[in-house]
Amino acid sequence: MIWTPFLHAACLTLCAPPLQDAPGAEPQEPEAPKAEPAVTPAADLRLHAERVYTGTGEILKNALIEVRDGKISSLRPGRSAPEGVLQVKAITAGMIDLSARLHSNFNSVEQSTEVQPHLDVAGSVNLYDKRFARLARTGVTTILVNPLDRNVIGGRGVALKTHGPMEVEARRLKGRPILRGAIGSEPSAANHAAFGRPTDFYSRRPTTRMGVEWEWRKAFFDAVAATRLPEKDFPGAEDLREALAGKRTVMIQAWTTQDIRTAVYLDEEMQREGFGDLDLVIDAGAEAWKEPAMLVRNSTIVVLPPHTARGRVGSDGAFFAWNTASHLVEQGLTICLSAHGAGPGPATLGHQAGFAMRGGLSFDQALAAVTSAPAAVLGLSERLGVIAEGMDADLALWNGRPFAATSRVTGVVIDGAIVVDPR
Amino acid sequence: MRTQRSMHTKALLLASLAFVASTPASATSGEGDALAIRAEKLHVGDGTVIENGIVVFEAGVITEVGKAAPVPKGMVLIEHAGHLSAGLIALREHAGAVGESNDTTRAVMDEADLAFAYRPNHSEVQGLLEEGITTFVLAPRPGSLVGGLCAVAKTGSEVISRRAYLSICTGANGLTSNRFPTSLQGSQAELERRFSWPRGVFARAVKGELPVMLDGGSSRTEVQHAISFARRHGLKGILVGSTRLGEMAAKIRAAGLGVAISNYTPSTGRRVVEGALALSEMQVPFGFALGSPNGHPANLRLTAAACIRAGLKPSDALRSLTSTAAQLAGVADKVGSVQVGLAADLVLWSGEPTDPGSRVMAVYVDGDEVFRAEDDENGDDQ
Amino acid sequence: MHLPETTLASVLLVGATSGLFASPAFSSAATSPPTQGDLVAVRAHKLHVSPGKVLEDATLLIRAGVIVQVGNDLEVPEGARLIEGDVVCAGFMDPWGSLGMNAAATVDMATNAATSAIDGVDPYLHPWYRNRALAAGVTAVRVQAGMVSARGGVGAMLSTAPADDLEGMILLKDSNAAAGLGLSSRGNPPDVFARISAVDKLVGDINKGREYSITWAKYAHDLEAWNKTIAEAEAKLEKDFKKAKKDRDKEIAEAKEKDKEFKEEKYKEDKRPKLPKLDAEDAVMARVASGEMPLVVTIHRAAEMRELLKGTAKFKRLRLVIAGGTEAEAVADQLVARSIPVIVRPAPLGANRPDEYSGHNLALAGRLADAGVRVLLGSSGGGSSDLPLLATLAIGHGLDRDKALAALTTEVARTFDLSGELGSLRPGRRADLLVLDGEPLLPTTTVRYVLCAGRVLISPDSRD
Repeated sequence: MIWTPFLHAACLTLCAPPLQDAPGAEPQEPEAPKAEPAVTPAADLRLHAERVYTGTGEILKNALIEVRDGKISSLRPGRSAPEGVLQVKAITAGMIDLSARLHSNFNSVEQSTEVQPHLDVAGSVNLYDKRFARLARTGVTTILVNPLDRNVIGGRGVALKTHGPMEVEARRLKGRPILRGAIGSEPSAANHAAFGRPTDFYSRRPTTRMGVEWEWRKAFFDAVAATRLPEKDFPGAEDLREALAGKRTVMIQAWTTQDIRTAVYLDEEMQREGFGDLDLVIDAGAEAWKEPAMLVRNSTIVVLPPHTARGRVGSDGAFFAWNTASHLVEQGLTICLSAHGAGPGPATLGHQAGFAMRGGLSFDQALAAVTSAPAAVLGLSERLGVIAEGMDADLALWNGRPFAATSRVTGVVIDGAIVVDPR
Repeated sequence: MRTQRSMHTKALLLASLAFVASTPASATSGEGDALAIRAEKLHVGDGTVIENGIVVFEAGVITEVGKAAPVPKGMVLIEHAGHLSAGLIALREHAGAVGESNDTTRAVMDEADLAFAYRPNHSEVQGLLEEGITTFVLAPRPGSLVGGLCAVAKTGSEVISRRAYLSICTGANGLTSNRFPTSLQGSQAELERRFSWPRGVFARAVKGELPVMLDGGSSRTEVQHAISFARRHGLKGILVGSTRLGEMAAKIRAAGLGVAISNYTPSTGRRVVEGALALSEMQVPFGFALGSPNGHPANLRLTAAACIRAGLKPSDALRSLTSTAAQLAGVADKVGSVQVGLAADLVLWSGEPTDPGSRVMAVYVDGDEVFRAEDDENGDDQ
Repeated sequence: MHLPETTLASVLLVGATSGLFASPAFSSAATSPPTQGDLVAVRAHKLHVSPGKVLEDATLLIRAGVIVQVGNDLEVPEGARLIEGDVVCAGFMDPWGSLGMNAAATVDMATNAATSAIDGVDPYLHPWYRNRALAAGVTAVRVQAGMVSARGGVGAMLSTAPADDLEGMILLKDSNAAAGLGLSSRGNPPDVFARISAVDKLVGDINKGREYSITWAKYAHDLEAWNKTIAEAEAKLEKDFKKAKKDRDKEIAEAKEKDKEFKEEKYKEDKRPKLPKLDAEDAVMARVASGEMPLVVTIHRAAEMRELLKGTAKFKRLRLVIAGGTEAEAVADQLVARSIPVIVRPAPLGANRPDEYSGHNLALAGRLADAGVRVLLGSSGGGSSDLPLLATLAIGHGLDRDKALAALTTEVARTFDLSGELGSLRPGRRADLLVLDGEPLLPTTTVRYVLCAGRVLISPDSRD
């Protein structure tokens, strides 16, 4: 459980006499208990909404949310709004974008070799990038930052709140580790065959899809081989072995059906070889609708790219219809939606949910696809994705029914702090 | 410069108070003149100003300083109707080493020695003298992760320290698109590797024996990385290359680092100036960087003047240009103040040294007059 | 192509140009409304009336935005706002700036001699930069469309004071014509020989302007003569009107009878002088050739400067101003003889300087001034707010302090025909002035108050 600070606070206030002076008492944060009186302390923040969409299938009417220490401390429906309390039409959990792509472009991917499983993108994240604040304003409270997809295996991603301390390590969410890579044309886009004497490393990397696939397979085989031949060990081998052992999620960008197939076959090959079973997530899986059966078979989660008017997306021109989301959900797949960036433009993550609903997705399914489903991928379901007592106070405040074309996010709360005030 | 020798001597004869037979022209070149100079205002370098102060130097070294410093019999005393200060120090400069000061073929050039790139006779070095700069830190130009060992050079003279700093780019300035590293995390991983199991210069840096010159890059995030990198490995030294260092003054102070302020330009000017004020307020020691050939040597004093215009005390600015810079470069025992035992690197100014409107009238390095303003009123028959 | 000047032409030249093309030279006082009836008194320990002329413990009175009195023993009138300070001097003027101009207009390469800078002025642009310039003491900036073009068009002098509209900004809407020679003006050919021919082309353009004005002067003369003849004929006709009408009616009747066409009697006087072809560019160059407004030429290399001076020697009324002038020292004696001012950019440019500045030296301003050349200091569009700071660099490299002050005040006003309005603190001048806590052009000096047309725009409380 990650919400221990809240528990400490609650315990200490309830079980009253402060123990911190007693010898042998567990050292606690000394600030917490002192100031608070014996009665239930006033909340840091109180919000009232006509409707609270909890994300657990419930819609609470006229609900009062209380926030303490960055967590939701109480959630009570059927209340009238007390004096001075922030009132809005609707509240959902803060949205989560697994493919927000707020990396610092070419500085975010180490291209000197094509397989870099051990490098953490956190080192290149620029929290002063205005896109973080812009994204927060649209109700997206948590994102996954991955390296630019110029490598076969780009490295570890980092999950961050869109608002908070200005240092990456302080803001990093410790959930399930993510290993990011790509299959398709992008990892080979900058490379060329070596004519004569190679002058840089771009002349030795994969230049085709086949090469990209081969690099993936070789990386896993080498990592496994290194367990028996320690001299064959290489930086990142341990990360790959952890991925095979299912200890970290492997998120692969694959737009087209052939690339999605390659990713799934790679996973199945690892299983056949007895190397392990990848916990696979396909990012930007626009054409997942063409062969959903293999994804169902492999229980792969699909992150969909943003909808476009023409239906063509990505550098390979993958075909992505507006009913893709609903079609995949009907097949029993778990999907997440993403917006690929922070504008400019109207296609925020909230809009993506609305577009998917126009393609047939139900409200609850759409809400899950931008909140609880991505939270689960990040291994943060116990903190994020739904509105319940003890969860992080990450909230999107709406001026109408969420995802409706006439509604928009007017306020945002992250970790109990009002980031955008609707007043 | 030596051709001006005789003319100058004549000027001395006219102006001197205590003149006896032996003329300074007899002093051999290189050892420096034996001379005494009395200036209306003598800036010692620690903030004190001596009115009508006298500095006496012999064989290139200052032997007496004070209001009533004894002038040995037979020594010429020059009367200077103006100010006198120690020669200025530029904390990051590439003069005389253009095109030779960085090697981009490899990311890590830990043993590269910038002293070998120094050409004392280069015209750019003469340009520094004309602006009253007598000492500078010769640093590699950005482009490598570890650029090499910075040297401290006397303008037009020798290198006085070959291991002033180990130059490191922790930010995007150390990246190139066609050799390792191409990414910030790649660069950080490599530096971590070098400093976590340190050998050679890295070991000396970690032990605190060798200061580092950290080019953090321009963004705040990169600067943060540079500061935490220095803290993590207990590195001492200075931060350079960003206009945003002032915004991190508290963190820089906590890390015990110094700063070389970037040049004032119309586009970055406000940040540079506000940064200097913030650093001054937090008592972070700072000097001024230069960066020839793209920066004119006059930028050194112009940047200081811009800071003064915004509220920096002129005495603090002068310290940053002289004694503080010498301390940061680890050569305070040789240069940077007008003190007995230090090199006679002196500048005669027409007015306040920190006013860009003051002229450099004469410059002495190791007691040798190496520059004199062409139309100096003391000079005759030109 | 150059015609020998005829007496007639040169006599008529003045009349024609001022009559036909001239607009009021000073639009400032009339167009920029000062604060009505506001009475301000400024008292200082030192008052720089103009560079070199200092009054100790003096007071200056401003009424309706204009300086009305300056002196030692002036009473501060009842109801006047009193501002006290150590040192007072005129506001600085940047003769080579871009503040207030649309950026695209500043670097427009398609400008010609007739392009008007004020068409590219935007009163709502750069409020922050303008405030910074004001706070640094820069109260006026000369701007130019096509600063790097071969022909820059008609420049304007603008105030940096916040303005509600275009009119409120304009101090002089036609301060100069402009041209650029050499590489830094990108419209010119890079080849050395072709660059000399670009100089000849400019000389040719000035000549065309002069011919244009001669043509118009001749037209004006002919028109006058024709008008006179016509008037005489009319008078004669009027006198014999009845007879003439009777005769004419008879002739018409006769013609009708004979079924012939009636032919009106022709008069020589019907041949009205033909209106010469209008040409906006030539019209501007005509004003340049007649000396009505100066021609600012951005030029750096000595070879081109020599060619320009040689080619323009025959235009006795031409008022050249050189901007840049990196190698102007080589032609200093000619510049002195012809009283040609040079706008120097005293910026510290490193080795990577723009091509034409390869000989750039911070000592240029001082050396030119020592040679007797009139020196102005300009930012070259790089930021007027830094001009006072950069001016100190020129001082530190040999420019006399008073001359530096003049280079930012009186010389600018004089060069652009604003001496009666700006640049000094004499009665009748617009009250654009600075109240300082020390001597001007020192880094330790703070600008405490800035007044534009008597309005206090910067004060110690207005700073953040």
